[in-house]
Amino acid sequence: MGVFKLGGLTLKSLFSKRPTRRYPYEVRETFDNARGQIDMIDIHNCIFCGMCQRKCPADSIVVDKAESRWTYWPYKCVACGACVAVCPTKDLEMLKDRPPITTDNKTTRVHELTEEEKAEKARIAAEKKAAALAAAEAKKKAAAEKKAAEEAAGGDAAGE
Amino acid sequence: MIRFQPNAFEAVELDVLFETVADLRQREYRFVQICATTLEDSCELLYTFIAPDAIDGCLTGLVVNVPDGASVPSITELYPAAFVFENETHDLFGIDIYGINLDFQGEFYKVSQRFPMNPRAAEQRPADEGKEADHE
Amino acid sequence: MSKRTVVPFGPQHPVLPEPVHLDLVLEDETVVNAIPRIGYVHRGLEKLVEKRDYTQFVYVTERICGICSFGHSLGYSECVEKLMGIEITDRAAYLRVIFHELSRMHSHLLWLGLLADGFGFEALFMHAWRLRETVLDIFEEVTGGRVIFSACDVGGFRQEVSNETLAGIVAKLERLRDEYRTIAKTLLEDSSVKSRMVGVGHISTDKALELSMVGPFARASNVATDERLNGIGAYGDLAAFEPVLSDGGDCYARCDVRVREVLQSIDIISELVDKIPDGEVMVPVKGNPEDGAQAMTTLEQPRGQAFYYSKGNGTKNLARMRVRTPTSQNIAGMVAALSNVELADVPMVILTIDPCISCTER
Repeated sequence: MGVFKLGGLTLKSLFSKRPTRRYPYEVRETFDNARGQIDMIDIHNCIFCGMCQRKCPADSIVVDKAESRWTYWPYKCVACGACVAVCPTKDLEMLKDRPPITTDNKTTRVHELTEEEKAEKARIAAEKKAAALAAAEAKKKAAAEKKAAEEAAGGDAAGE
Repeated sequence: MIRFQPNAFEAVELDVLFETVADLRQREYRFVQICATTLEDSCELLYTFIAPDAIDGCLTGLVVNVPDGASVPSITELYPAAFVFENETHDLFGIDIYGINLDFQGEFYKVSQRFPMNPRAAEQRPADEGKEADHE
Repeated sequence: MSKRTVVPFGPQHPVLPEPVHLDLVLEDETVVNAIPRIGYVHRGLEKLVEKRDYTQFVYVTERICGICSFGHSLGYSECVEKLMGIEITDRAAYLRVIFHELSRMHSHLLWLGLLADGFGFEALFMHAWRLRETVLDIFEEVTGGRVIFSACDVGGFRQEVSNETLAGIVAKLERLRDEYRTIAKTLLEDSSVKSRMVGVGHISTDKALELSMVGPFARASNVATDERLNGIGAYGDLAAFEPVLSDGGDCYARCDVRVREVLQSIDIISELVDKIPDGEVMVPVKGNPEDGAQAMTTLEQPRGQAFYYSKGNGTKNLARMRVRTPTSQNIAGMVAALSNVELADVPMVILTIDPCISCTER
């Protein structure tokens, strides 16, 4: 009896379409949602807050605010997507392909501002700081003058 | 929709532990697990049981504080399946448990460092200790 | 007085999916005693909780085991949500249960393939794993991963799954049901399979209760223990749920229970997809667990009852996270099932217990 069931299964497998694929000659399309690796969309949108570095469970992102640099190790990354979900400017995206085969698994992907952009950013920051300092100085001076004027007026009144 | 099962935690002293578990066995409670936590200066054991008629799956947990160097009686007389957890607790945390029905004496879990989860125990109990406990 | 020999079984053996060592004490050809030793896959994941905070640790719990991966992230999330008093949305609870039942199906299909391979019936192994590919493709289309899908998180479910996608999933599973039934029947009604499995490794109901066994291993000995009966989460909204029981107590009964559980999972998924409510899937999570708070939850994983315990200490790292998996509870039952069994039947008995040693050792 069992031979009929087994025979049925065998004949069906012999004459139906093969369920396997002739890889590597035929490669299946990766699904759109597949999780492979992370990349940054545009470095100019990044505010270097460091949330992605804090949330990564595999320690594969390093954010350097002073140097305006974002470094990523694709071979340490486990493609969980925590950084993509937590970025406040939505500047990270999940790509669907795994990183390419290589012999050096400490390679990094670095995004940083160019030298002119960094210099420009530093200059703007310096200008802002100078302006803020000047405004604080002016305010202090005005307050000191006002106090002196009040004391003079009070001294006159007391002297009277 | 019910979200979680109710939990009932009870603090139990080390000397009445065996009687409490024997009482639960009498009432046909089912055994779930034994777990240990390393605290600042002692260890804490958690024994978990489920009542036989718990429709909502209420879990009963007995919390026992074990000072360093104290010995804990085994409950394998009442629940034979507990030997796995008691051997594991001894091998990973260095807590001395006596009277286990299948006592592997430190050879159950193959780890490269003695008592990896509890660094204090590794200092207090140097190698080749705890082989034959003299509590009967 | 016959001579006793000790034969080491494992850690490397063709029928074992994961390494475990057993010293089999034999008298002639009968196993008298089996002494287990574990620790070959110990990664110290419970100690890693000191280094990774509670939102990062969910990705570590997923990687405890490849077969029960979603179950561990689900149990961890539920435990931390209970610790911090977070309530998730209904839609997230339904999605979690649907994916957990899909995970159960994938685990049982994998087990069926391994069992057939242990017999030497490789064609059935290939058929069962071909059906498993349908389930893995469903996972990859929806969440992006085949085995480890990073979908469950503290606060809900990370992916938005539309109702059309869910209807598509149910249609695929209905097509799978008939093929699966043919394949399972071919294995279970074969006379040579029956002669190797009926009456082997018998455990009576009383012994199963005494040894605190869990999961399909215990349900095959007529012990009605199933955590889904508690009705926690979306399981409470099912119209009727009965655990699949069998009173054989031997290897054949265990196979029968697992085969029927796959069909029960397909029914549960269809029912829940009909009833799923609309809404958000993630709830924002802020703050840290309180100092001294503790929480315990249980979950029915494919292999039995899994237990999760967490303890907070006021910082963003948990003080303790404990996972107790069903296989460690069943080791005593495994040792009992292996007594009075011939040496040639040992692989069969171990495969029908379905051990997952990487869960046991974390």
